[in-house]
Amino acid sequence: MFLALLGTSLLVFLMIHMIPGDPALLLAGLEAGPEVVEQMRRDLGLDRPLYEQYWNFLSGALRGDFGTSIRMRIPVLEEIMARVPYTLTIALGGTILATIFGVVTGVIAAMYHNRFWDGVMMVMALLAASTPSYWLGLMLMLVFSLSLGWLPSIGIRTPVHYVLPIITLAGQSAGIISRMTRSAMLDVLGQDYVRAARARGMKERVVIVRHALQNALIPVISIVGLRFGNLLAGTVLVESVFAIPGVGRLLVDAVLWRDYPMIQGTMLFVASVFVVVNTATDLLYGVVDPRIRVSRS
Amino acid sequence: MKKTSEGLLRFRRNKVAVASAFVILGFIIMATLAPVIAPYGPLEQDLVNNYLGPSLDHLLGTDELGRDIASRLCYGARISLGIAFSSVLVGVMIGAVLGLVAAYKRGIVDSVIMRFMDVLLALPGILLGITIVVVLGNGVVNTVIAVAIFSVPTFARLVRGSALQVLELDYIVASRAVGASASRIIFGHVVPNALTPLVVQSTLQLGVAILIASGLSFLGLGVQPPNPEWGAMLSKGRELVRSTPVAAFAPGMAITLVVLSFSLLGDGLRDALDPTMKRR
Amino acid sequence: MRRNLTVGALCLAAGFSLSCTEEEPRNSLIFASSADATTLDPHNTTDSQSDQVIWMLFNALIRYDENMQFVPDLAESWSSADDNVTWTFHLRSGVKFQDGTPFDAQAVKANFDRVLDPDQGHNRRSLFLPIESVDVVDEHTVNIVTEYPFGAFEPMMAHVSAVIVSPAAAEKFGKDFGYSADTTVGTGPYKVVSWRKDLELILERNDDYWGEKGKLETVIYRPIPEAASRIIALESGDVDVITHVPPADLPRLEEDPNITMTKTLSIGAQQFRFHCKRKPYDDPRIRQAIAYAIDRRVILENLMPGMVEPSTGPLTPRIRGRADLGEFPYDPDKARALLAEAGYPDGFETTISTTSRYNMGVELAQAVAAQLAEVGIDAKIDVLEWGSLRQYWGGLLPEDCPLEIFIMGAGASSADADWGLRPIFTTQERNENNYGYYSNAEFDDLILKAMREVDTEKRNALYHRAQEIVYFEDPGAIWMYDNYHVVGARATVHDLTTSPLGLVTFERAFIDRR
Repeated sequence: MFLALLGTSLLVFLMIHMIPGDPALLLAGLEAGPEVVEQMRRDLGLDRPLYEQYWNFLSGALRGDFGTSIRMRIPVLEEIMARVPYTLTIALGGTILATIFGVVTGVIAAMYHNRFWDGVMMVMALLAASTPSYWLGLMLMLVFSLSLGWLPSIGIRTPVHYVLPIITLAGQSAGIISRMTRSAMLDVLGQDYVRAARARGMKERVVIVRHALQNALIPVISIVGLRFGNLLAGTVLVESVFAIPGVGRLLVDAVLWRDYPMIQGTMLFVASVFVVVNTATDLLYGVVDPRIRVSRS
Repeated sequence: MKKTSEGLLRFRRNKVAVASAFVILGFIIMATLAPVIAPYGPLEQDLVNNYLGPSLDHLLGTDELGRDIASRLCYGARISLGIAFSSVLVGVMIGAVLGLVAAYKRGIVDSVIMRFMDVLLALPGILLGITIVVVLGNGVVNTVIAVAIFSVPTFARLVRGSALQVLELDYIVASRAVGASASRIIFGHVVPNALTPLVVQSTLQLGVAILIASGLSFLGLGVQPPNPEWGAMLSKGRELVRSTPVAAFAPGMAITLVVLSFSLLGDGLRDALDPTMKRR
Repeated sequence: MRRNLTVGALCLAAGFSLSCTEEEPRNSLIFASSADATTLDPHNTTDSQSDQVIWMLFNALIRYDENMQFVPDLAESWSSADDNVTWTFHLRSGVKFQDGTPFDAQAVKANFDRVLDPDQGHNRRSLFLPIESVDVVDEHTVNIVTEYPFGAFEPMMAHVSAVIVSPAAAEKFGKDFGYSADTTVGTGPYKVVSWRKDLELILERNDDYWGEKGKLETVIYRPIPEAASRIIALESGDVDVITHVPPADLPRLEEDPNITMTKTLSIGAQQFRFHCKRKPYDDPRIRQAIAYAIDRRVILENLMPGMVEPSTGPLTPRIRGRADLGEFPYDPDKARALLAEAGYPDGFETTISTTSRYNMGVELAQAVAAQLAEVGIDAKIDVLEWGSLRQYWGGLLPEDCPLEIFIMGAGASSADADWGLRPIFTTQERNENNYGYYSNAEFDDLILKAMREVDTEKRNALYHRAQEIVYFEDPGAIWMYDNYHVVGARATVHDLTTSPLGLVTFERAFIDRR
């Protein structure tokens, strides 16, 4: 886990310095003189050798100091932390909504395997995931904010403001979760003990919920965990559309402004969350299904 | 053989998947026959007649430069599907080689490759794409590279997993011990076993590739104009959504329809080809 | 509307209690621009998002009014001595900065010393280089001495970067001044109370303001990067004022009774520049040919109707010293003839580099490319993300700059010909500001003469000749259009101030939410 992060930091660092462009030029504006740009390069330490810059970054990061944003002149970590709540809110909200929607549609689809409702459920669940999120968000805004006037369009003032972004984001994952639920359910429904339960004359609803769903949830949990990282990345686009000042937008802006410390900080942050969530998922997986604890290591 | 024909039968019973296959086929035909179908050239400007709504002359209206949106959509299918297919192909090839090597060599090679894949996975797709395109510059080829790199780890893991399954079978272990050549084992046993999940995953990935490409276009990091790539059309069209809605809805629906079809087709293939397969 | 109904219903439910009329929520306005301000340090600002906030927070000694005339701000009067290098400013007394520091001659001196200090490396240093010294005469009188008689002295002093910051705060915060709410201290009608980057920048009325106090209690700047989201937010009433309206939306918004559109011809002009040291653009005839080959009217009237005016010279009509040279004629036959004369009868291949950072920048380039094809020039479009384009502008030798034809937006931020022509067209070995390596000896000579000429008539004559050269004879660029600054506001918003500098301010604005 630590190695993965270290590798990520090195990869990110190298990629960043392959990006053409110069933060000093971007910040100096079109009317500044060359001496100003030179001075800024020196102040930012961009004139030092690469390994020295990486070492400075790494040793700082280990002490919890991710440097100062070139563009905003505030500590990187401080800015990231200030934005985490917005991003996590929509990412968590999106995950929960996607899970609920995905599991429900997936279960229904499995129950009606290869029949009409199976198709309907899968199309429904996959429809949102097949639409580029920025476009989905815009359409939702057109309908619910502009035409119906039910929900606010942009911003984060009240909890209501989060509704559209969360739906948009959830749309990206619901399809995959639904697909996973459906196939896991099909697996389980084919198992002997489920057939046995049915044969004993248990009600279908009880069979589904008590026996099938509980077992089918194991792989679903892992896919939810896996998707969380992608969801986090998906916030990049959703935050732009809904003008949410989250980590995703921070990252894109940092890339566009060549704000090196900020790119490093945000990329590493996203990667860390991803790694932590994956590890947590693995652990949870082990709790839910004891067989895995041994074989998975 | 028998297994395949059974699968085909099962596939044909899955109406949704069949319909998806036809939709995709339709788009492929549209892409191939674009010069025949499209009433206008995709780059043909007619500034005086821009921002037109749908009419008989222009079925889907015209964009900001007066280009026929329907024609652009037809030609755009070439680029969008082209990006999807080529990036997945590149991704599969690189991923398969890495996965095979990792599974075959095990030990340190395996660890290094798979840790590197973890690193790539830890940087979710669109972020990786952004950085790659900013580094390499905009353009069709660079978009393909960005999307391909993003799908490499998925395929590498998939191939490694199914290769390990085969390599651990007793008779394979035995034949390796008596010195069967690597290529025989790989092409004779490992590849056939990995083929089904690869086909399924590739189909699913085709849709993802189109979505990532369009996300890059949204951020201004997609293909170069005047290429009528759908994502580029949509990301320009979204600015016109209140004035010339069709400029956004046409490419938007095309993307949704194709991506959805790829997903449903992939699901259908999986159900059909390997009903007992551990689904991922 | 719907929300107002809800509020109305609530009021009825509350039984006409008084609180409802005062519930008229907040005497505040929400302004959505495309991006957040970068810095509120006037000595570092380089973008209009920052500039327009800075004007709400600070005052300069003098400033432009709506008609581009100079009016007193923190200086009550000013005059220049006979030597044409010493300018005396009589300062307003009794003015205090928002941190309580008194505004006086010393503060003025401290400001110019700060921006001119080479060690601090402020972005706007080069603008003020003509200043030799700032001398305190007494508490409320200050002399600013220029190195030579400087024709654009007043425009320089009315520039946004000439506003006066609290010397105490500047001393205390150093280079961090203006990067957060706490570090921004001016004398202006509003003050910053909070700044969450990319979310909102909140200004509150400065109740101790020395001049006419603002009517709005709070002004909230809320960046919305997505054009479509911004429009929807305005139409649904979630924000009160927006800028950067896409051209296609303009006609509809102009008809919307709930929305008022304001258009101000700005100082900004859009141009395509040439790499003049690269073949074939080292030949002025090629540049002329391209200028003749473009039908600006048909492009602009269809691509951005009502948003722009075709250029009539290198500088827009709002800039002091500009010459009206008329629209560049569209004459494809002449273009072909010039190409043939220059040895390219069959045209040539080239690349137009552009960026979506400029409004319709990508579409403009495509339209231009289509017209160049008519005269045989095969132009490929290369869309660069801003940072990638910007890397080629600044300090490169000609052989290191791969651009051929490239888009550039130019706006003389001091609204004067000197700043509009000198940095970007006078000869430079490296493309520090003259990104296209334009070089014309006669032009250089005229510009340097005009810079030291204080007689307006003589100065204008010099600039007129210089503009003829760079526009017709030895074209330095293809001038496309002069920009309108378009602002969309809810009809309830009144008395916005829109300046030709492309800025919206709210010092007199009020909202009438009936």
